[in-house]
Amino acid sequence: MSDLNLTDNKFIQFHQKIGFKFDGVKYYGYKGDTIASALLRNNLKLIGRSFKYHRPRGFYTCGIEEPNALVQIISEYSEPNTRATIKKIYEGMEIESQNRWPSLETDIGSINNIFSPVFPAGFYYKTFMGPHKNFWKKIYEPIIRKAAGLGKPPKEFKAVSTHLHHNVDITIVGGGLNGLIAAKSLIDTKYSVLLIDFDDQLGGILNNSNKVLSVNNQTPMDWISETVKEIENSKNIKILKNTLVTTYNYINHLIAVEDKFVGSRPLKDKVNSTLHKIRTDQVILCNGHIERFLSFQNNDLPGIMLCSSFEKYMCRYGVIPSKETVVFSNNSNSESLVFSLIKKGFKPKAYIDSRSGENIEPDLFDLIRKNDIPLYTNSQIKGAYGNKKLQKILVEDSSGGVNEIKTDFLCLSGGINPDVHLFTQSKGLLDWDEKDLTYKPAQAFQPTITLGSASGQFDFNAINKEINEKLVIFGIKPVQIKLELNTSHKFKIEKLWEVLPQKQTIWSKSFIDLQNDVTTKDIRQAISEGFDRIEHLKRYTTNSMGTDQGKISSINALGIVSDLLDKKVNEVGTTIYRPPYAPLSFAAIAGRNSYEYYDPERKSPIHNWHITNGAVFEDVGQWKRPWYFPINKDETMDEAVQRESKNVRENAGVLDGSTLGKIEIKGKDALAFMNLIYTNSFSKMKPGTSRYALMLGEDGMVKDDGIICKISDEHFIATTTTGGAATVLGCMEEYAQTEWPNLNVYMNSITEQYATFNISGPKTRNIIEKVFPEVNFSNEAFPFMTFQFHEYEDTPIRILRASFTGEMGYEIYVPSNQAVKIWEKIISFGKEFGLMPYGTETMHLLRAEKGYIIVGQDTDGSITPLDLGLDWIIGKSKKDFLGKRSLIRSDTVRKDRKQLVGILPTNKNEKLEEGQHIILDKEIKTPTPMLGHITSCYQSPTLGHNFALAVIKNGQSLIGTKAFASTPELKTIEVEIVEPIFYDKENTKLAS
Amino acid sequence: MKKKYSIFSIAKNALKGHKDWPKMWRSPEPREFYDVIIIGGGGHGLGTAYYLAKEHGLKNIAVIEKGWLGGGNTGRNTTIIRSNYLWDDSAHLYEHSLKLWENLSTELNYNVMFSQRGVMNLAHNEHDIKEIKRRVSANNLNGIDSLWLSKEEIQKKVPIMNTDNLRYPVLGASYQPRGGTARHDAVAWGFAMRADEMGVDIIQNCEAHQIKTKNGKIEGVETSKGFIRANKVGVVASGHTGVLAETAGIRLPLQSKPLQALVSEPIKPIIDTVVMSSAVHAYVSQSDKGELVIGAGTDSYNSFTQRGGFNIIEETVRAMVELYPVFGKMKMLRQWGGIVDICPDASPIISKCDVEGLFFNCGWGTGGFKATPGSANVFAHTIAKNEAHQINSAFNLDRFASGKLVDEHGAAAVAH
Repeated sequence: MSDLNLTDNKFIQFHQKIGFKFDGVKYYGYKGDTIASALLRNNLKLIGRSFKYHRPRGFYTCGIEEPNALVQIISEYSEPNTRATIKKIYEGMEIESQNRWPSLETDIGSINNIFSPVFPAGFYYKTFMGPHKNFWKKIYEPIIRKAAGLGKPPKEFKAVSTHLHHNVDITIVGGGLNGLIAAKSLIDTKYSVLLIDFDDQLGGILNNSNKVLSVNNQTPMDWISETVKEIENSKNIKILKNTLVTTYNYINHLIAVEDKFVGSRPLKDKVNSTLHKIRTDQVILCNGHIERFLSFQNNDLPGIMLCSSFEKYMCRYGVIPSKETVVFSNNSNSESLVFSLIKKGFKPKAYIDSRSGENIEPDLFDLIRKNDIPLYTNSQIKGAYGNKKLQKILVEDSSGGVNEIKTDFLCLSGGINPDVHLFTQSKGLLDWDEKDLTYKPAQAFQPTITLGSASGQFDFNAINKEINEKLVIFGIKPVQIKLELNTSHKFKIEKLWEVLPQKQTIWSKSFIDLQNDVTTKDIRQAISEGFDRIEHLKRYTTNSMGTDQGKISSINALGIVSDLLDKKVNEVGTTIYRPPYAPLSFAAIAGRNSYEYYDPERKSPIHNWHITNGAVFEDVGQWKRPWYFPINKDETMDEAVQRESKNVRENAGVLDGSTLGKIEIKGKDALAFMNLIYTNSFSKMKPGTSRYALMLGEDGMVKDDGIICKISDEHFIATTTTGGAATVLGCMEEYAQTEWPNLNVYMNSITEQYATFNISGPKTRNIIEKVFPEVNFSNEAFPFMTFQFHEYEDTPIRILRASFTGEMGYEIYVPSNQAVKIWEKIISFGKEFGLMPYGTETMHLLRAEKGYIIVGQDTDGSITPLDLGLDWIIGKSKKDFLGKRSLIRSDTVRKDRKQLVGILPTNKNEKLEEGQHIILDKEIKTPTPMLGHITSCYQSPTLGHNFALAVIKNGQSLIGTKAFASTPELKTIEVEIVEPIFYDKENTKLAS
Repeated sequence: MKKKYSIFSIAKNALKGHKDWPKMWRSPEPREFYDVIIIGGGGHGLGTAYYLAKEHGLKNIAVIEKGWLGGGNTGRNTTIIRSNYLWDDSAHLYEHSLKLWENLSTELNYNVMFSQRGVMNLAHNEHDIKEIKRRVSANNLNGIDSLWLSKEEIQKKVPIMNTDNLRYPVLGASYQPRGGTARHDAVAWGFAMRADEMGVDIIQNCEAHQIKTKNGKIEGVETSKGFIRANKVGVVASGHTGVLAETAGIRLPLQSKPLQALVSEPIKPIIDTVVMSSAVHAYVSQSDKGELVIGAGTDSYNSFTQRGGFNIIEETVRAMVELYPVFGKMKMLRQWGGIVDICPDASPIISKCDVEGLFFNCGWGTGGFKATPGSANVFAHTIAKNEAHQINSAFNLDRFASGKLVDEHGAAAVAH
């Protein structure tokens, strides 16, 4: 075991042993361990295989920036690509390594490494084109796809997560040293504050390194727990732990995801994660920095790790990945690790620094000397070598001599970068710091403050000054934090991006992106091919396009490119970091709005009656509408529809029309408004009458239809189609507000307030007289297309005489809460007259027989009222109405437009289908000219045969001619083009 | 010199450590005058230059690009290619394009990885079924491969799809076997390389500020690299065409909106075809690298920011999780947006205009990528001959006056 003395480790509960499986083998770790720290505890250094060359890889870091250690969590529905460096273990956890076959040790895919010389950057663009184009589809692509991808697909899973909204004054991202100081200074101020940290422990660098010895004369641990307690006890600050801010949107809108099951197995029906949506006045980014690596030959071998990560494993997890490591650095960030190692009694095997002796921190220099650690100044690692693990390194010393050092571990530091992802997501601008060799936040685009290393402020002694200056806008009391440091307070670095290998072969590889297997050779090749813009380079080589987005390496790539092009890094540019900061779970994004909550189900007030009576439903927009009412389970839809429609024609039927949109329009200018919105003229219409009306778009095409009831010039009620209700109301509002703001008019949806029952059939009057005995339903007292208000047992109702079936009919509008009572009464009173409920399918059949259209079925946004033969509906004397101007455009007045017609198959029993096209020729030769298509088509029990409606080019003048309908098998059915009214052409029934 | 790519050229270069590959294109400074300037170095613009040089013998051509090649919508889309459009005019245009796609890798000797894995459009209600069957029927009569798939057939092709146990069950689908995806960057790079070889000047970091006209005739383009004279100017600037047209005093009927897309982390193959659903707004394919490439919708409001609202991402992801429950365990790797120009009829404009020598190729809405070679090909014809090719004659500017619209709202995948 590689345990350190764990008794003084606050974060690892060493008395709580946890068993877990990795690649089928059982291991033990402790409560508090990540997968990585637990496996390192068990001396496992090989964790996965790389994306392209299947090279063995180990843990490179100790955090979210990890490029290599991605694993599959078998015990969590086989979740792929989980970072072993942040995922905590729990009892019974099962983990598998990825992208290897048959095993991690012996991976057939590593043959790619041998063929790697022919897999340079973008090799796939240059080959796989011959000998025939089918080779791509049949051979090359399937092989490439199988080889690519990291983890295996997850298994059957039902997401449970939730969303939480926050509106706060200040959001502090990161609860490290700066975040805690900032939060503490805001205690009991007038601001509401959210402090968010990704870790389950606040403290950041204080927990992860030995850099700071004391804070305000307390040990860092004591200071943290005291400060956290104070913050927790404050009234205005809320702490979110285990929460990662992934996205920084416009208008200071942050997205953060909270893991609710850190260190335990997620429960099946419990919320696994919470997505926090935070709107905040001010963001304070204290999210620290990320250490970067360096490129040299085989810098990817297991056994190579970043310095600060190594130190974090020691401090945070009480595990030492190696007791004899070599350290290689070009900057002061490695200092702290050397101190920690020596303090714990694990002297580094050698210390190598690219800087000269004078430039190395004096304290560090002395320490190394005092401890007799072999020191190489002005030196570089030329390469690392070993079989599946690091075995030796070659060091070029200041004299140019090359020394071989046998070692199984190497710690590496290439400098540090402020973690600017969120800052750039917010559209803040960066500037290159030539001294610290990194991009730093320069100019915020939104109200964003950056503090500490996140702002590129790497000097511990400047913390007070920065915080006091930047937070002065909140009127905080000046902060005076006293820090005692283990290391020098300032950051120093010397430029080094890449060390060229001792001997360059066609197989040598110095990686610049570990996850995507991009080498510095690939970068050189891309530049020689002209991909010298950083965005091109990124896409061509796939550099920094992995799941880590090149967190430890993308700046190095810029450095190398700037050297190659002999340009300043600033001129080379920086790629845009796209959200999210780290991969964000789909389940968390979806939240509760899936499955049963995906979209509301809208139901008619008598929905339960329909269920009790065996209705089969169809989705119409969000509505559930009864499609048909089978009388027993053997009756098919066809049979039910034949029965229902026959019954309406012979007796009577009742349809639940409650889902039709209902809009009430009121105001002094309601009449003028209605005249503008609809094609019809409502001016001469008497109160108490109603009209069928069309609404057009600005293009003159039919958008919706309905019946308009005029109560007075200042009060109308309009119905709309079921699916179009919201659009129509939206359209009315838009025009009232933007085009005709001078009109005094208001509208409101009353769809849900009223149920509508459409009774029709020859026996309608018998039924309705029985239900409403006090109403006079004679033709004289209640003519067609009029409506009346009545009361039914103290319930105000409206009765409209109208019909969509071609039979005499009434529509009863009743308040929703009284709907069941009245519906049941109609049903029971109607029984003796043969009344039956019918569904939408029968309604569609009946109206089609009568030649009535359904907007959206017989029209498709390209049909004018004239195309439908509804010339009468246009108020020609009106000065203006929506779509009027378009009706006189050259294409809309064209004579040969598609027009609504009827279609009868010559063999009347031959089945037509909606969507079939009508053509002139019996034999189909593609491409063939199409006259139009069948929009509605039914088997009519009344007519005794099939019939259809269609929109056909020049249809009106083709009436009486023969044509053909084409079938999916490209066969044809002979049909005759006829008038689109098949039932009661003389309109005798409606007013009977 | 013409670059030749094959496994042999790679092997040869491998021995030299891949140091000696020739440059894909030059980086010239603009000349004073060009016969044709194409504004916009995306796939459509570069393709236009390519076909102008190749098929119409023009040599003195420049493509000016304000950023880097393929950095606009070419590099931001979800790469779906299909031609199963409803109306004849659209069907012929997109089918023309699809046929060019089928030979593009060979023609350019650059692998654009056109993957004909099929495109499925799902039906979720009776109305969808009618609309989709109508489209399938029209496609068949236009000679375009298009099938109606039953639920069982869908399930066979995409076993991970949840067809029954969701708010809007899957009832069937149309399927175009020849549809698929392609590698978007490669299209831009391939066209750029071959256009450059024929002498086309590709000028990056050169922003067009103003289109200059005189007496109803084009004069040239004022750019960030100075004024460049030209006999003809073709504007193919996707999200900014409307803005550029205004500098020439022309108002185009375009609305500009952000459209978003996202990819997941890469996994081993799980879905082998492209599946689109406009009803629940989710479309997905899996890239050769293993990422799920997912298209989201447009914002409701016009905007020129290349970032849309998070609620749109949410809507798409919840539809994905509903249709493919296993995706709940996947993670979003990157999200981004692009600006799309949308015409009132959801069809593009490939047209000359009242200014002599000025041409527009725009209004592709949410689905322009699939048209790249076809659009470029007929636009080049239009510019060279001063009149539309038969294939793009319907997509003129006059249609907004005459009313002869090509209303593709139904067939466009994204509700505009």
